[in-house]
Amino acid sequence: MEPYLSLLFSIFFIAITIRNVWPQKMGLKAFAVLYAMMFCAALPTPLLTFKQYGFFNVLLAVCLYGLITYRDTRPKNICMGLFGCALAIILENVLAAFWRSLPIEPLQDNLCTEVCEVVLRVMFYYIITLLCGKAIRRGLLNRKGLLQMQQVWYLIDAALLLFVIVFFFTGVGKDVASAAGLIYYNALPFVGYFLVAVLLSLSMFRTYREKIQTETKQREFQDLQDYTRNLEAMYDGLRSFKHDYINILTSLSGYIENGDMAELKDFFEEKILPTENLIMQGDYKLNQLSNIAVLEIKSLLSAKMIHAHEMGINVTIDIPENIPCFPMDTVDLARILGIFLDNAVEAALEAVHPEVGLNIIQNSGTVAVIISNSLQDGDIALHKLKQQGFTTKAGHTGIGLANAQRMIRSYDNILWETTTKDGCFTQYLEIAGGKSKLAS
Amino acid sequence: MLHIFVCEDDDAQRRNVVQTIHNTVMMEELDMQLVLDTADPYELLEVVKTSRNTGIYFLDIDLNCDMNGMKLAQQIRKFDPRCFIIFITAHSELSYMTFQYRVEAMDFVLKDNPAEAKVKIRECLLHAWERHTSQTNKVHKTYTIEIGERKISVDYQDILFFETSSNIHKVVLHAKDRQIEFSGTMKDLENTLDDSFVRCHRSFIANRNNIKEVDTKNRIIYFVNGESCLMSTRMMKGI
Repeated sequence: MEPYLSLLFSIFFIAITIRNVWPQKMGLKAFAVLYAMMFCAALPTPLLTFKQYGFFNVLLAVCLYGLITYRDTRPKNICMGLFGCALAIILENVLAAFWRSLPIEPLQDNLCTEVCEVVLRVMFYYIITLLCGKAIRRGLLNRKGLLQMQQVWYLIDAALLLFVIVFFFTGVGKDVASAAGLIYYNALPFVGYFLVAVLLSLSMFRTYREKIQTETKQREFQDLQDYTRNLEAMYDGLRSFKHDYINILTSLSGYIENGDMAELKDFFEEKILPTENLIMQGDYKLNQLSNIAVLEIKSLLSAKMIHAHEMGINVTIDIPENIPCFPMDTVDLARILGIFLDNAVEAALEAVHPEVGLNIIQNSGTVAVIISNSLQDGDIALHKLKQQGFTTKAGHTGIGLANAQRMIRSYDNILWETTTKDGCFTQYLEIAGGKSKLAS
Repeated sequence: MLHIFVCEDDDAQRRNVVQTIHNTVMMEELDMQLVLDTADPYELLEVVKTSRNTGIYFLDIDLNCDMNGMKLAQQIRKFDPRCFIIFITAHSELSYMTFQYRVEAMDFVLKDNPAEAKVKIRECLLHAWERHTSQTNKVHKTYTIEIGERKISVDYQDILFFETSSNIHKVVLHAKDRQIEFSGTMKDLENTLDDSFVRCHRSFIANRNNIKEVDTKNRIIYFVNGESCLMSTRMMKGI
């Protein structure tokens, strides 16, 4: 019983140190879990020939705990956990030496004074670790620059852990007698190496994800820039029209002053009526995209619509009201709309009067997205369209719509209608408010 | 008898529209009557509330009033669900699609070009008349899908078959020129549809009236547009 009691005590010290240097505030419950985990890991220690391997168990438990809890500071958890363990050991030794060197005569051996002494020691210990924790947090964790990146922390963790493993397991097994013990001592470093590998791959994973995010952001930015440039061009067009308009008014007033009705009529029909076309031309209502609050979708739509317009397609955009959000995953929606719009543009290009329409309508509870395009020769066989491998385009695999179908099907709250009527092909999505994606 | 209503805030333009309507009704000898032309949407609504006839409504979108054409049309729909709504507007930036979607607007007259507008108004009247007579002659049964506040109706005669989807909560409706994928189950469908529909397979409900041919050997049903679905031996008897 005696060794377990002292184990309980020393584990408690280590746990408190870890709690105090932990990157985040650790609640009482989380602390209890940590303590329990560490204690469980340390249970076999008194049975071992080499006590330090028991300590290695505890280290592994701390690493696992750091991986599982407090997800947003995961790599820092591990680092601080290892740090805490080291600090606890050092501090305990230093403090023990300190107590011994105090010039106080040992008091009488009764229970009361012993408890007092223990409480005093714990408090002293607690305060010191708290200060250490504060210093570490300020000095290391809240740094800007390289240390802000999680992958760097993962690398640090891996290096630390590797160091610990090498430190503990050099020349192990020389004095181990039993086969079971040998297996145990050999298995331990492998668990450690496995953890190191996990940390390294986590670091790589984060780097990769960040790279993808940057690329997406870059593309989005590019799209938005195109959008702005187009808006500017439209505004320039408007300004020059305003200028023309004043000229027209002046000449009109000239005719009116002269009272020359016949010439006024001629002038009106020849010069002014055709300006109607001028107004309609090129004005494809790109500005209505500003009603979409979801940046990813807006940039995607603007890019596709600008592209369609540049290909000589008559583009109509109609988004009369503000669309604050789409009740589904933005990435899925972007992919679906991308597929629909690409198809629409390609199909429209073959038509005599290429037209593509985009319509987004906010209702109470639902958002409707309607994408339509003109077709080359009448209607197409709808039922073949969604089959994987079917395509009307040469050199294409026909995989797009099948993919879109799979994504749409995974949502319970989407109604999808495909219509072909009078040479017009329409994709219609109605997304109902509740977010409910199937687990499958 | 169809009642015609006009709501337009510009007096001169309203006179033009009314004139065109009068001419068309007289020349084509349509059974229609202009009941009211006004600039005030509330006045129009008052009349609609008491009217029992189906109406044709020519509405301006921008009415210079706290109620715009869209809201007015939505109100009218409540009292006169089978009415024909036509928007007259200079707002070319408001496209047809939204209006059709929201209030099932029948058409859209642009007043930018007066000559074209006249032709368009005439067309609208004729079209409404045609639809009105065909509607009253036969009543179609329809299947209605609801999502949010929106209802989509499909005539029974246009439906070929229903199919299950890989998502168990969803069903695909195959019609002659449209496909709709919506939330629903085959069981509910079987209960709501009438007996021209038959469950021919675990994953299909077919419309008997649109079957072109049945291949009993390979157990395939072919429909009028060339689409096909499977049938099971057990359920073959129903067809």
